[in-house]
Amino acid sequence: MKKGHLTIKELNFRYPSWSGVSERQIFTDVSLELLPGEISVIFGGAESGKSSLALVISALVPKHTGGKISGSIDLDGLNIPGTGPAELTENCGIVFQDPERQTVTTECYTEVAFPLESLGVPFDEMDDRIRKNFDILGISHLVDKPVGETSGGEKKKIALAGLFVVAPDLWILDETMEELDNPYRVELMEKLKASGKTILILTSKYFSVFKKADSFYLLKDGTLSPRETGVFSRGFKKLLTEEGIIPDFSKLERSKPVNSGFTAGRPDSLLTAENLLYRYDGGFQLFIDSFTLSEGETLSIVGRNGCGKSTLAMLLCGLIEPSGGAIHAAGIEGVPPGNGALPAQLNAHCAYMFQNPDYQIFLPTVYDELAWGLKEAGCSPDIIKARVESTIVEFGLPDASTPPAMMSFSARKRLQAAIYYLLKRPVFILDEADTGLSFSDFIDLVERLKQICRGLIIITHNLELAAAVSDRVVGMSGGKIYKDILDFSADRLNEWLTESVDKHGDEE
Amino acid sequence: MITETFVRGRGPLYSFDPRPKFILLVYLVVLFLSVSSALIAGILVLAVLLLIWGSLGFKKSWIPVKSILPILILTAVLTPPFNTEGSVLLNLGEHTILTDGGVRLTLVLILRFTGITSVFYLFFSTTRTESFILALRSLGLPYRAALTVTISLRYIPDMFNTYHRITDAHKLRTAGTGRENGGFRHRLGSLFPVLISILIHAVKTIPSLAMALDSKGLGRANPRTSCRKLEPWMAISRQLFLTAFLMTVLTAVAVLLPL
Repeated sequence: MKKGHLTIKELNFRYPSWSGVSERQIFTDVSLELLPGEISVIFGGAESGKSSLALVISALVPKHTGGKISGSIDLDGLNIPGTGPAELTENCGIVFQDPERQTVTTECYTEVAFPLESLGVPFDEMDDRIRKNFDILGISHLVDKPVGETSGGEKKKIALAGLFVVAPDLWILDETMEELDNPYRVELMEKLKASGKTILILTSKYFSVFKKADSFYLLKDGTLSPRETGVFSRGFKKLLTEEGIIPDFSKLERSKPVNSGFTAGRPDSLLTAENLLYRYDGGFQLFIDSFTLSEGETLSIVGRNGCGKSTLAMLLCGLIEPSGGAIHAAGIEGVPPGNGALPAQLNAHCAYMFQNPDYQIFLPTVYDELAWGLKEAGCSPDIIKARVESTIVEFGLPDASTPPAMMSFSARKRLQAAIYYLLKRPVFILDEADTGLSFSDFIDLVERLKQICRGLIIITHNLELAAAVSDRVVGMSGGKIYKDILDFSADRLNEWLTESVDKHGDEE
Repeated sequence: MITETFVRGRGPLYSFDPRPKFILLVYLVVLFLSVSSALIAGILVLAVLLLIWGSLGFKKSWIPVKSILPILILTAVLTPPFNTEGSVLLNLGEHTILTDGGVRLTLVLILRFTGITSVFYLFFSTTRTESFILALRSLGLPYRAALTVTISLRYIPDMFNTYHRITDAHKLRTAGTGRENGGFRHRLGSLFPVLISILIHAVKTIPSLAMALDSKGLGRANPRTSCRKLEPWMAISRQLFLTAFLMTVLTAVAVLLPL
């Protein structure tokens, strides 16, 4: 008999209270049935409880977090809440939303091998299984790579390889499509379908990728909508649009950023780079012969995982120094034309939102985080209080006294955006800032930033977003900018990305 | 951010089996702790630095020294006034500041710290984490204990990187305020949020690491296998002999030449 029959009945869950965070109900009376071999997708906006549901089904929560659970979760007759997660390795596997949190070793090979070692798979069999699955997922070039040298998307692929290599009866994928490039998302869905396994995908976007899935749900306010099968009904699509899961670009105005008052009579090029070179110890090299961000422009950079987008961003904001070439910031006062801008000058003019918000959030409460930069800038306590309070409302953040460490991933992302919003830098670089945010939240963020900055660089794998919010799109591949993509509809961008792999190979 | 101490490369130290290499590491640490001669400690440190140079390159040979430089400076400043044995070299009023005994002890301590840090650096730069686990298991340590040791070691560079990431974030937030190059007090003050952040980051890592290990089946009832194997002891007999020979020679030098 085919395995992977999951039945959830009247599941309720609430996290315990913590200092600054009251006890809260995450979901109520959730019931769900997945038949063997079925691919089911649960859509949900930010903080809808998707990750908690994924962790509860894999028995990791409440074991590691505490909390009250009631109802039943049954997988092929196995009572999940009553079984230790380690004993479920062959029955149920999960890919976490943040792959870094799932990584326990330092090499891609040993990371994928770890669950096989736990299962006691013989040495002679292991290597074949690992290499075969690296190959299936198109990541053979990562076999001997240290995990620390991989990009966010590549880490997701490594986590997926860990699942493919074990091939449990039930696969749980929490926001797995995030950080993957669009052609790969489509390929991955084909691979998941071909696996014949029961798969539960929890996602906040990428509606169109899942058209071939078998059933669909919406998790909202802790409850699950009735099951939708096959093609989405008009009513369900409307529901997803209202939740910001299907993008609604109709309200989007392609407004130009306004001058934040830095310099008058500035030239058209705000930020340019020539013959920019950066070499990593591992051999990867970034070389940008020419790059320009014009005054008032929203520029998107697209490219497959590991092509050097984040490295370019770090160079542009002065966090790393180029091995060669120069960056010119024409609008920066005090930088003579012809000279390259110094890293400290770039630091002061480019706000860079890291992929991982946790590296930019380091104070005990939301208030402290938002007030910190304003205090450093010498604002008066009254101004700080007023600005912090209004920003909390604008960005939909929890109470000012909430510890950021206790907030969801998307709330931490919004806090990270709010911090930089308050700093009012001339140039903003958003590095996969859409990860963990709904379409509507991200568009809202872009619109807000456009009001205060002079130029915006968006690094994203979300082609619909890139097409919708950008004035210009450039494509990167293999550490180089290949071209301005003049026709940047989402479909054309997707074609370009697919072609870039054919022409230049997958990123090494 | 997942970081490791291993530096990819080639050379005899890379192909050396992790078991004799680990035995040699423990032996060298004991040797550095027991040697009281500045000359012998100096020769040993020089030998280790030359090995780092040969295996990892000239630039890397200064990393262990740089990483403990504040400790070395503090040792150099604080040791002589508190160790005033031997002939006096410098007096400040009624206080003896420098004696030849104090200078000798300071030198030995500095060389000892440098030597121990350098051998650890050399070992972990040329030994893969997983090989180290295998070596510890092969030497009789249970898997969980070996994994705990290696995960702890993995998190040292990890926290170092987190520190850099967070200071980068600080730099981006303070840039342009005119306070980014503030005085010592300001810099000391701004260190606290960074340290708090690293602490929060480290604490948050505990449940997520536990979840990750659980999701990968650590702690199952069945026996665990390994994706890598070490050579049988017989196959590394030459390396074992070389290790024993080196240990004998070094012990003889340390015992017979107590300069």
